[in-house]
Amino acid sequence: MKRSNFIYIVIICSLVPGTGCKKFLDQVPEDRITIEEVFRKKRPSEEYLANIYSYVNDEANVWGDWPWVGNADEADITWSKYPIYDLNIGNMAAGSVLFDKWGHFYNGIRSATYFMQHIDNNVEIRALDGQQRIDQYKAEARCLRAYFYFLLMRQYGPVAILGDTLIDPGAPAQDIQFPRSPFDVCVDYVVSELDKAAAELPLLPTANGQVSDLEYGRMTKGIALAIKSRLLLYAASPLYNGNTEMATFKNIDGAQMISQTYDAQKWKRAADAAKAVIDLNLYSLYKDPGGDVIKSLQGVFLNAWNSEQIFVRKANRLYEWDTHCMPRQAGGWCGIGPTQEQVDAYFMKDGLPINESPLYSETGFTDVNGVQVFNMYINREPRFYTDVTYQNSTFQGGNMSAPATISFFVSGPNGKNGHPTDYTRTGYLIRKNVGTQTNSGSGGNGRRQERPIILFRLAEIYLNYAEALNEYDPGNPDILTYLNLIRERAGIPQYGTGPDALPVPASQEEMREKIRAERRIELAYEGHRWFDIRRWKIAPQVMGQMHGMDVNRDGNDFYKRVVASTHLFRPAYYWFPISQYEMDRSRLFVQNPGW
Amino acid sequence: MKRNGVQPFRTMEQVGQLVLPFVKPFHFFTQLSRHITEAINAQVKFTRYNFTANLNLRLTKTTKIDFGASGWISNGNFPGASAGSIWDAAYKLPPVVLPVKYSNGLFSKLRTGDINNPYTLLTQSGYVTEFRSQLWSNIRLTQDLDFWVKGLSITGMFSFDNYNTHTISRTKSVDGYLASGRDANGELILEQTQVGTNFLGYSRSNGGTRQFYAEAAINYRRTFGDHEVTGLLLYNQSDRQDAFAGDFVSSIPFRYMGLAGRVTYAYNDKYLAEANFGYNGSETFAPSKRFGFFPSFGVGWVASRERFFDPLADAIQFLKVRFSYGLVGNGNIGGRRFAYISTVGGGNGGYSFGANGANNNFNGVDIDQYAVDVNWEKAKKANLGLELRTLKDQVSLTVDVFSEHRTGIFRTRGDVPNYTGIRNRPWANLGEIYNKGIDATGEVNTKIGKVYVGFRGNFTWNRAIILNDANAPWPYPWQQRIGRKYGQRFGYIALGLFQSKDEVLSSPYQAGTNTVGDIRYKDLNGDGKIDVYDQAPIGYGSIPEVVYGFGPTFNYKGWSLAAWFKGISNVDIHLNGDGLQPFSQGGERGNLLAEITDRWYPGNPNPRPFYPRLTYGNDNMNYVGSSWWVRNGAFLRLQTLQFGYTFSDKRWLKKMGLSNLNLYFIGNNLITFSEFKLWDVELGDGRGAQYPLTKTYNFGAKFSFR
Repeated sequence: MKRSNFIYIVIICSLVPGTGCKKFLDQVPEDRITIEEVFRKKRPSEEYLANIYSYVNDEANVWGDWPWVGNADEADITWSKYPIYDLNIGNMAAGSVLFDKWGHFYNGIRSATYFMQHIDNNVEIRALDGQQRIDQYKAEARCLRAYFYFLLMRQYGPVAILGDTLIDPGAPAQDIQFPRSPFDVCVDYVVSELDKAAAELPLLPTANGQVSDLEYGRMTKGIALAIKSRLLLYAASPLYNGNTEMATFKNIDGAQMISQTYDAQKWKRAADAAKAVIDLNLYSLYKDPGGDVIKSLQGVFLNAWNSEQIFVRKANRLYEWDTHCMPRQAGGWCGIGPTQEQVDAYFMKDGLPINESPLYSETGFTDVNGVQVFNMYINREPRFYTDVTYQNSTFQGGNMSAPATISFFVSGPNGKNGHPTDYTRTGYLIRKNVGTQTNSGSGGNGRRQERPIILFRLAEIYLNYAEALNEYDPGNPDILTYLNLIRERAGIPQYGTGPDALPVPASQEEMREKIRAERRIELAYEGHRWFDIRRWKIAPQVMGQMHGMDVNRDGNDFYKRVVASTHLFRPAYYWFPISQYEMDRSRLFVQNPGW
Repeated sequence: MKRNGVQPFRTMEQVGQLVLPFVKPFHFFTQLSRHITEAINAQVKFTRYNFTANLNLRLTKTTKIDFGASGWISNGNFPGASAGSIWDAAYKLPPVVLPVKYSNGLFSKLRTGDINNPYTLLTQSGYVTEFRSQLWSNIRLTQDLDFWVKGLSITGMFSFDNYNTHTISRTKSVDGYLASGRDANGELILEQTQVGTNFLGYSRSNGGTRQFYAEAAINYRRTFGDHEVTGLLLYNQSDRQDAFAGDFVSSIPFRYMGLAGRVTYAYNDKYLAEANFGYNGSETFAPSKRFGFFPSFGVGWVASRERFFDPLADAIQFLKVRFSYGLVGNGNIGGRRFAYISTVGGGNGGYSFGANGANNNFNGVDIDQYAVDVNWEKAKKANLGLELRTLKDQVSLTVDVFSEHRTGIFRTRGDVPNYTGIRNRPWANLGEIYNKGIDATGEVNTKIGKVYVGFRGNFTWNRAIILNDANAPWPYPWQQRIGRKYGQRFGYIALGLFQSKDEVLSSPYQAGTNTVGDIRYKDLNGDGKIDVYDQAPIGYGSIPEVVYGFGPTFNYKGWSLAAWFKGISNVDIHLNGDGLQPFSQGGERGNLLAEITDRWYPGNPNPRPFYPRLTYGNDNMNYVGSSWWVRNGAFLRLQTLQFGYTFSDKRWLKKMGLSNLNLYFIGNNLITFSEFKLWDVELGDGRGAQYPLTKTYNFGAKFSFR
């Protein structure tokens, strides 16, 4: 008896768990980085902010990632394996949206909102750098968030404005529904956010009160105002300002998504916003110190950190852009070329368009350094020669050890006969912003000409100002002042002043045409044209068949205008569709018209 | 590939035999070992030793200790290439494109990187040794406490399980060549298409788990006259650790603990009642939600013991009706562990600042997974059962009708719009499934003359319907997953083959080149094109709804014969994969099934051949998931056949110290009856590129010692 008593006491004791019941299940590891920890320290918070910056658009990949250059009337991209090809043939539907950035930018917006709501309590930053640093970071996040909303609006039209709401991931589906807001409501929200940010942001990148090169690339007051300038210009344009074609585009509550009444004050706001950037007196058009016009035009893009740049992205893949634009003779992929329509848009060296200038000829050839150059390419303005590689032009770059004449004849070194896919369909290649020191193509050593990619520059602000002022206050002398600054830097005669001056455009309509023509050339291949032809509502006229030289021929037969490809435009194409995935889950959304 | 009509090369014949569904595994192994000894001296083999030990000690009249240990150790030797890759190569490489070896002894290989020579994979790829061991051990102490409280006893158990696996791979690849012709001297012009490592490499991998489990229980059983009462209170906890965890979170031991109790009452063995509860805790949930309370109850009525049942007692000896209902919780929810905590990761990326040579680069940081309000998955189960015995206890039948309503199934949410900006889909307890079914078992035991005859059968049917899958609703009703069975297959509905060019032009648009002989699909939403909106439920799915089995047994004197058949029904098999589709990437790729002769050709009177119009490449919709490629997967299989003789009560047995000697033969998987004949029907969807289930024949002897 005693023995069994003893035994069972021993057994009972050994069966009781050694540690307390509840602690047995307390398995959570305590020493992992948590999001609360991130916002207690300085470096992780700065990394969080850098993560928000990472959503800033790097638009170097124009064939697979960003459609603006390849889907307008300024350039054509050859390869059929890339999404840009499908977009141009109209092979897109709500169920299969190409270049869909909707979710991408909303991720950035959420990260920015989260940052703004949690950065205030960062004790380490306050201890090391003071409250002003926290305020600056918060303003940067606010500016980035507003920028991401702008990038969504330009592609999709009216968007869902979440404000400062962070949607709870555990909330049931019916509690997280947001409608899209009418476009003007979106514009007002983004503009107010940009104004709030601009009030707190420094003029120049600073660290601890000192201007610092280390901080270059952070949002500044000038960047916020430049974004505001472009946004207000778009919002004042015919597509968004009293556009009665969009009368049936109504929100779920019946409100008009696009305003149906023309408001001239929108142009004034746009003009004021552009002037605000100019009045900062921080930026100036880049000019080569030696006065060389060609070097000035090229240096805007290739001379890193110059005075004209307002907002740039330092890390980018421009070396891929370089390689795709270079001819096969240089080891490039030889497939991104201006259309004949764009080639025709360039002025002559006397500053007149080709249909007005006596210098233009489309017959015959001229000997240039021993090479026969088609007269279409003779006596053109400097921007033509920096922007376009044409038949028998001279090029050196990539894997070329010496300059050579570039030929696009079908049997030539860059021609269709020599490669199944890598040839330009239009008979031209883009030369603008092509870093010739990049050697990352075929037979290359992998070298990359690193430079920041320009998102906003002063030339655009000048053109924004001139355009908006001409709509609101035609005849204002500022219009000509800034238009002429662009032309002067481009090395062509100005309107009404300077050597070989051209007559001043007589009417508002004529001035409008001149400004649009200047914008088409100055901002070519920078991702502006896609939005310009839509906001001016000229897309149905300018899209369609794209022309070029006859790349199926040699010799004189090459120099004939033929249809190179078709860039389809349907009325629905003013905006991208909201993806079907999103429409299925957002019960308060209306789809864009035509999709 | 079967050898109908095509004469393969003599060496490929040997490889071809390797990929036939085999009847004789020994044949395969001897073939294979012969090939391997050509290259390396390793043999393909698998050995396994099982052991079991049980020890029972009676410490006192009322105290018992049981100690048990069992486990196994296995050692396997396999070719360097996995079975899956060898099958894949046999399916991808047509045997008529290359010889196994060229006449000068060099191995062949196509230029395409992902098509391998199955012969070299099988015999020239080195070897892999796998050592595994599993140990289960437990010690249990039971103490009868009758001397203190009548009917009370306590028991405690502690168990330790350990699993280990250790793999050493010594693999290599050989040089491969492709011949493009012969030169002027008649020598082969060879191009080297693969540079092999040619020497055995070395790599090692390990795995293992160890688990501790402890349990303590108090039992009570007492009969007061006609009343029988039992009670049980049990506590358990378990701790399992992955010995070779790949990341921090998986290295934390998995722990559960729980308290369970049961009370039963029986009156006169006629009226039965039972109540249970479980109070379980899991480490996956937030501290306030760790424990869940799950009660249940059951009642039973033995009708055959009622007085009014007496007249029927001759016909029905036993009749019982029972019903139970309860709530069950599942804490082993999978998915994210510790989902109530948010995790931090690298976000979308970093960014670089700095101009004029100054570099200021940052990595990115952002929330990876959000914290969610994770909870126990719950299920409400109900069961109604009937048991009866009749024909003088020779026939017994049990039928159960059950339903289970599972809620709070933990899965990723698919109904969150993108404008919320949440980068990774959040998890939530939103899934819901309703499952119902019927389960029946019957048994007959009787004696015909001197022969004892028995028969057993069982049948189960069940269907699970999805009530909520945390996804956005589909645009069309036939696409809805909600309200359909779980595992339902979706695809296009094939109407037949195009019979004429006019039919092609007047039918809805199908992607690619379509002409006479291609498959014609049904346009469900009437929009004039066949696209993802025309996918509807096709067939049953790969999970069977009906599972059944039956088998007779016969015993006569010392002889015994038993058979067991098993079958499934309401299931289908979807054919797809590289090698099933002929010439999917041109003529140099993809083996062919023998069914290739059963294809559409102009003038073929058969409106439903196996293959539609054959094409090179994949330029139309013939091989998308559709009802054309779904086959009935039902089968009935003779799973076990057992035949033996038992010697007992013989003098020579006693001399050897034996009380019984049983000699037996057991055959597994002997015959299969099925409409599906392309490959072993139990391999399921795909192209059958797996080692088929083997038939085995075992002979054994069982000695019982006095």
